[in-house]
Amino acid sequence: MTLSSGVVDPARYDAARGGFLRFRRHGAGYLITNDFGRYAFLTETEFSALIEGTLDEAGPLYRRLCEEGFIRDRMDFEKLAAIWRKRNLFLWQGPNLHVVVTTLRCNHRCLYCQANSVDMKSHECDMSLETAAKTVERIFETPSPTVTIEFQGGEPLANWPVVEFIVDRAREKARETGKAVWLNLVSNLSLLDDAKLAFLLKNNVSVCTSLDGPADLHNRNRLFAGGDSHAETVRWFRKIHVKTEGKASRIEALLTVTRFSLSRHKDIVDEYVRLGSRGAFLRSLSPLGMAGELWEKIGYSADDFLNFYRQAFDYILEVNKHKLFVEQTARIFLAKILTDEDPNFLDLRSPCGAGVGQIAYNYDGGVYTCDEGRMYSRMGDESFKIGSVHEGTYRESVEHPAVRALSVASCLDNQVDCSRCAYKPYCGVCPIQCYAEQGDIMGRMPTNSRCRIHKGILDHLFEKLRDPENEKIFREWLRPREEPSAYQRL
Amino acid sequence: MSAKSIMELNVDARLYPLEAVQAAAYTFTDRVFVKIAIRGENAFTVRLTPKEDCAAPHLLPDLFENELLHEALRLKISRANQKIREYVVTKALVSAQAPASAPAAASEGCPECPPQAENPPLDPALERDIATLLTEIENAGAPGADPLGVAVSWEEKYEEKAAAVAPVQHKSARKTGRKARSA
Repeated sequence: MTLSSGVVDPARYDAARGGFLRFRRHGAGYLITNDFGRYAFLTETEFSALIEGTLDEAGPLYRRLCEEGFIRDRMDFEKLAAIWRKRNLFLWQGPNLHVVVTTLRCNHRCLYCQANSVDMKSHECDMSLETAAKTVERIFETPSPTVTIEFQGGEPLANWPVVEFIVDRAREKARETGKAVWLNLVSNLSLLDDAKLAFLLKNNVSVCTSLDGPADLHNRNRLFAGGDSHAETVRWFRKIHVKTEGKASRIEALLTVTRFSLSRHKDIVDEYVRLGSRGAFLRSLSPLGMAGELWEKIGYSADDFLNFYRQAFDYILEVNKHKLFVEQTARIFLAKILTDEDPNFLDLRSPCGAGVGQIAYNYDGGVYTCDEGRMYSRMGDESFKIGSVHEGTYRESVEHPAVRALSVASCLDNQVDCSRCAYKPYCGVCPIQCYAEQGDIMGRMPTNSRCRIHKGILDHLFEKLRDPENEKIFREWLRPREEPSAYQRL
Repeated sequence: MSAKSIMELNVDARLYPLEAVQAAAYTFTDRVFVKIAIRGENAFTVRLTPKEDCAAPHLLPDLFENELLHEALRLKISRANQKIREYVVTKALVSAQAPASAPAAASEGCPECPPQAENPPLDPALERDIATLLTEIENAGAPGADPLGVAVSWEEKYEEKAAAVAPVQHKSARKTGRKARSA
């Protein structure tokens, strides 16, 4: 029996045969998912039959649902446990991303700066070589066999001697410990020169920069008294793009969407295509730091962002008729939807990476749960400080109550809404963003803008997945690159 | 908000458990303020007060009743499958630390699990591991519990060989954590 509007009568649920599933109304039917990331689109009739245990056992749908763990008395426990394990391998790895803030100084004044950077004269906000040495020692205590060190700021190139020192020392430590080390520089590139670039390339340091679209839009968001930020970014992007072709290290650019971007989806995508980028990363604003202070001027609602995202995404699909071009937020979700390989994106896993997947080291040696945690420190709130490289131990940091609290808060099984959501296998919460937006690390998902954005993006992706031609494009996005990869990245 | 726009719904407690009523109400908190009260032995009263930006408030009662059915169904599905889900996850957690050559485990450790279509080989050692882990899970919450060895430093883990919990070696170990931060 199906009630009005296709709602199934729970009294008719066949508990003996129905396996675990989460469901969500999708179009005229239902989307169902399970703990193993498997999904299926069902009509209302099919959904009712599944719930009531009356699906035709000889039919292809029943066989497929058996295969994918939706039918209780046809579950292959061995196979399903292996899938679950594979999708959650990050649980065994420990912190593998280590964010090092070499300085808080920066020569840009970006409207959305989350780090509350300081001016270029404030050298007291530089990391010392002594602190850098202790930071590297602490980093290599992680049980993870792979270590990624990401240089952040401020503008990390403003304290070049420390970048150079950490690169050299990390290479030595990697040899001593047998760990693999990947290095990544997050920079506006304006302080780069050929000698620094040669050092970075020689040491396989990947580069990540910001590009907010065409010159007028980029420069409106990213104020640079020293010249034309867009021109500098584009100049170095092209140069590094050519020099890293076919190599392990590479350059990628990230987009931050402000209110000024909302009507410019086509211009932004065209700019990335023009530069030869393999994709674009459409990211919404985070209400931390300067962005929170200027929210009335540069912020927007979740629905405004989703409108932008859907337009940009559909345009990217058009571009893919001619050339491969990836939307990276979608790619992360699609990896979780279409494969069992979790991309270990630290904001989209359960629990999140805070303290158990990443650790941030401030310029003064302060140790924080994550990048967002140290950003909160700049806002005068030390709730997420978990130690210092100058005292205490690695164990004391990762066992800190703040780490436990964030793990509990970001474990989706503990979230009232997330635990029942059909998108749980693909999603994640950031407790610190919840804290920033709602004053509570647990968050309240029905009114949480990030949740609304994620649900909106996933609704759009699953809608697109109904078309087999789109699925072909998405699978192409997920195909590993042929050249050696330092990062599981574009 | 005028008194007219406040809606009261009566929910039959013989049909809907409180947990389902609360879950349905929670999903509406983006649009309404909610108050749930017990009325007698067999009923709840749910009072919905639309927020100022609530679109189409006249649809709220019907939408709420549909959501109530959905939540009741979710609850039934969840309760019926709780043991099986715990079993599969425990098996996944434990077998990651078992030798790669270990034979497949059976479903015998799970009293509520239905028989599988094929009979997998038994592995008593693995079953014992699962029982041990289940005990650890039951005792979890004690300060210092670290069943996955995340708090164990590299040196402790590999230089002190005894009882170390080795990380899984797999091809994706090359993967690194990822963030997406502006430069």
